[in-house]
Amino acid sequence: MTETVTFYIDGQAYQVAKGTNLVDAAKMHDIDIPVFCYHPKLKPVGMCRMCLVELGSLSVNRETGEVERDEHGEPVFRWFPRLQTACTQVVTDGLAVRTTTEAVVQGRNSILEFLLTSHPLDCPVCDKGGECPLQNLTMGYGPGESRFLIDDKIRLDKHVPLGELIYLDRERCIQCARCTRFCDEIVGDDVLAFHERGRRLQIVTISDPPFDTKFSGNTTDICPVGALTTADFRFGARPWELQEEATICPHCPVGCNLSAGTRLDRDAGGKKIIKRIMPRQNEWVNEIWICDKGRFGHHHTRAEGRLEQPMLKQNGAWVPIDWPAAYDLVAAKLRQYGDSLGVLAGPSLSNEDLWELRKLAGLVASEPKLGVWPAAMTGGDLVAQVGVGSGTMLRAVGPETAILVIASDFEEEAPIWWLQVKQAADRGAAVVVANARPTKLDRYARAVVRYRYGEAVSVLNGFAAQALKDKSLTGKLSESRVAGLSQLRAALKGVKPAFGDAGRMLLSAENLIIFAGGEGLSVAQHRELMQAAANLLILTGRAGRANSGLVAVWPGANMQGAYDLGYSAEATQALLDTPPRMWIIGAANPVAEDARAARAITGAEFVVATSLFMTPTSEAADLVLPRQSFAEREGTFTNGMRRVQRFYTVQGIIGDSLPDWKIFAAIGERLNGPKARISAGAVMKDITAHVPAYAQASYPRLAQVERQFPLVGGDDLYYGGTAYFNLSGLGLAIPPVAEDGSAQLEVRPVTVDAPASTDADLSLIPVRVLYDRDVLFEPSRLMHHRVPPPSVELNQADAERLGIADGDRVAVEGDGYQITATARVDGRAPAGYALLPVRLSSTPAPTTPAACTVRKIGE
Amino acid sequence: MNLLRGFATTLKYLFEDKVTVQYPEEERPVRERFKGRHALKRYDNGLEKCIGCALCAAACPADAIWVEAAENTDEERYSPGERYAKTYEINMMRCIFCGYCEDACPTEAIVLEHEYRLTFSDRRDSIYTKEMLIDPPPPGVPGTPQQTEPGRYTRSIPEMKDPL
Amino acid sequence: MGVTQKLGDMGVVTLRLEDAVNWARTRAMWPMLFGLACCAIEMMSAQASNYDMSRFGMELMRPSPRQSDLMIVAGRVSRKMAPVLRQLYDQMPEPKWVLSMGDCASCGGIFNNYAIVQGVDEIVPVDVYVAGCPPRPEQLIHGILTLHERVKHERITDWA
Repeated sequence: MTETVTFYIDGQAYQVAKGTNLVDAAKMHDIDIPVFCYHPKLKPVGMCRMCLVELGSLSVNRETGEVERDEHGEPVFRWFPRLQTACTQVVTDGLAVRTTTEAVVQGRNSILEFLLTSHPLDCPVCDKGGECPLQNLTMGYGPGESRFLIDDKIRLDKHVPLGELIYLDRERCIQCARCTRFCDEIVGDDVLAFHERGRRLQIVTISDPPFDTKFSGNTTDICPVGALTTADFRFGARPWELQEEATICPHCPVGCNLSAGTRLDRDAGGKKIIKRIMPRQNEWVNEIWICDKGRFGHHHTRAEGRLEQPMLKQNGAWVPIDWPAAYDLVAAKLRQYGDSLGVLAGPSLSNEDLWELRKLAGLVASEPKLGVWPAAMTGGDLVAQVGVGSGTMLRAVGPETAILVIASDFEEEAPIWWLQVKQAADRGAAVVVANARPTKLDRYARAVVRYRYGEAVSVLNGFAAQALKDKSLTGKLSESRVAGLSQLRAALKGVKPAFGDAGRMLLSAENLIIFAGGEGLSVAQHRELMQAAANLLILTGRAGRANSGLVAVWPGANMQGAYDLGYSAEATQALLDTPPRMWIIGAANPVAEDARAARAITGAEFVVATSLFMTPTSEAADLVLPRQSFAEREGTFTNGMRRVQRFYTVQGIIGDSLPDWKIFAAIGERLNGPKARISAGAVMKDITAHVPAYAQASYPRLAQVERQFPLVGGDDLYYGGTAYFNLSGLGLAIPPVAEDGSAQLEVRPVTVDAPASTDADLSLIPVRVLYDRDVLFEPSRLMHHRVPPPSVELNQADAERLGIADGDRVAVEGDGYQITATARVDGRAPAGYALLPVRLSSTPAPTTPAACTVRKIGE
Repeated sequence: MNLLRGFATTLKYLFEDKVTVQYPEEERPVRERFKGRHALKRYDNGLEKCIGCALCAAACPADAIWVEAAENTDEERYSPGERYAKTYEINMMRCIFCGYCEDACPTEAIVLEHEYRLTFSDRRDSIYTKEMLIDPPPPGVPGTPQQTEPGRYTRSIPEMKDPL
Repeated sequence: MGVTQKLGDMGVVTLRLEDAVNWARTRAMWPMLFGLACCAIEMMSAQASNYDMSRFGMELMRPSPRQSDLMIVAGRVSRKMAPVLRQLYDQMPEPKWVLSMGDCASCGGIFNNYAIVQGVDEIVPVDVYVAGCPPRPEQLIHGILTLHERVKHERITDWA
């Protein structure tokens, strides 16, 4: 129980946890102290002076040490002579505040009058108009009219682009520094700064390219005026016209909660479309932040070229057919090829889709091969065993927690987790980064571990060996609880404890979170890595606890859900090794992304694909079924921390498209399967009945909310920015098996394969970048400036040996693939490796490490 | 006696001037402040007064107005402000001619004029688009979009002559 | 014309039957007295001496649907009133016309709620809509003249 202190607002006594900021403390008791510059997620600076209040303290008799009381028995206060800023005040015992006296009212009034002297009357066209803290507070506390002449207003540049995503209106800025402080304190990107002083003070971007951060959109949320607005929403609608719908970001495993502002649109044929995406508060997941990919990457929901009808390939030409005919055809083909069926589930299929697809495959094959795509990472079953425990809240972890990020370029793969881990590092959490190459998180890491690609497992084995030496950590383990313990002990005997400092940091902290990526690892190697991580967690007793456990940094939104429902990357590999005669490909694009998969799919007899667009995979298919994007339907995603979260129907349906689960269920009906469920919620009910881990994840449970702090959205627009209140569900974190004290756990010794020496020049390592050419992201034209051209990163030595300079056009070739790309020689790639960002090139490349040669080609 | 008085009244009116307005041949002039069909106004240079702020739509108690805004550029300028109304529609059948839109308009772009003959035999005809509502440009002045020199129109909202 | 040419001017006017019938219909189109709300005040005003709809042969507002040709729905129609309105319409003899007077009758007007029928064309076929809240008497007369124009152009084939 935290210590509480008593303080007084306007004579009324309140209790609050010690160390709380005064503005927060008042807010917790629904008392408004208006602020502009103060933000509950940022350190106070006291710049705007809006929060001026009268402060005082209990009057204590010096002789007796007792609180003096007046004739009514009420305590007597002594007041400071001047107004003080509340935001820089931490609540102490006996602190007294007056927020309604004449002096305070006068103070606020004058501050607003001063702020408005140079604020233009742009409200009618300003994108913030209607949800503007300055408007709200002026209405609430401001003067009715200004004593300053309008001609005296300062004239500065309007709509200065800060990069291509954000516009700055310098006149509107009230110099609260929320944006610069967000970039400095929270993100750590030094991209915005103040320029000049006094009334001429301006925000400038000091990076090249301008405003070069992946979180720039958040500054528009917390900006208390319309100085920062997004180019995406610019003049799209007025805020009060928008209808807010709750949804979940479909781009990465973090599963940020989003609020989609929708409105009817004449250009979209009068349909309801997404006008903008804002964060929806979920302190368990994304707090009130989202990355720019989530914010601006929503255009695929209504982009040109969305498939509107089932299309059948007849003699090489696409012919539209109707749904019943399509169902009948797939059912007939499934009867024919059911014994040789391959299923590939893309990362943006919801749990309902995955469930119905599994049921469909189960109708024709006794043991259907259920593969995931991209098949670069595995081990979702281990995450289910030793994932993070209930009550894990990344934003709250501090010195008692150690965080290991291994084999992942964290900011590119899971930006909001990166943001939270970075802040955890600032709060004192021991962050250890293990990767074969430098990444951005290295800056904030307490220790950095370098290994050679393919040897990531040895790092974890080293830590485990170190842990075994410490009897206080591992002594209590018993063979009865943990199967395979003695074998593991024996196997680790020979391993030399390595990376002493990093290991000590990780093991000395109370909790340990391991974020495991898949960079530079084949699927089999990644299985070993995940097992090694699980071994370490189980050995040290860190599994199944809050703020402790294993998290996979999946290459997609719902890969964890796919594993929980029986899909795996191993199945994909098996399918690619012995290609089946028929494929069902759900919302994936393997033909464009992987050369081997492309061969396996084009060689099949019948391929049916559900897709949003005519992708290379759909082109290679025989029947393409138009699926609905996440915005047009209901469903659930399971994020990397195994939080099942629900998304809702946001916009009008494009064409005749259907949600995937409906398509698969309708085909199943034709194969004498069970009758299709009527709604996604009913499918989820099915899942809760059949998948024990999801037993509690019914739709009503997922929609439950609780009061979160800080309060944002709603009537409190001045306080936390324009992120939205979460009224639609915080989701349900599924506890790992290890949390059940009696559950049997299993460890298994893992071996390190020595990196295979090949005759080839270099090893090609596919790496993930945030801004890629994924089908879900490509249609967001606004972001095209940020999507790099196809490139390959080379080590200085390799580049010199091959005669390649930075910026040269090169051909990257290997077994069955060839890509042309721009060479980058910037010191990030280790010697002997070529780093190839995936999903950037239009020609397929390997998704797991492979041998390659790189040669320079002419312009 | 009362009967006679009644007849006398009738008789009296028989010789007085006829009060009947012979509409449609003869029209009774409306009052100056009469609120009839809307018109979107232009400045003397032909640019539209409407900046697409949609405050009229917000003020409208009947939800009769639909505005979609877009951004002006110097190459293609519709209004002197930052934005203009790309779509401006009023459903005359829903409009109650209360004049709130006129009051809400920050640039005095929308004005309720005196035309009242608004009858439709198809309900789709009742939606007046921007082309139907906007006044023609003054004689000899080009309409919109216009090409304007950069730096001439820099304000979000054009200066109003009389801000008070 | 043809008849006059053949037989000479016999002091007889000839015209097509449908024109004659349409003329007759427009010149004695008796409206049904069906005021529902504020629009009805303006409707009364249109009937009174200042505007005097009898000039168009609309001599009488008929409380009985069986003796009227034109239903002027003047005012918002609540859901409870809707079946009554439909019954009255059904009781009117053919040919019959409906004029929706004012915003509320035309599309619900400002009453966008569960209680008000969002346009009487949901329950009866409307020939002419008159905008306004409420419409001026002139507007109503303009609407009636619009209806007359429509009726004048009706063809014999439409009658069936």
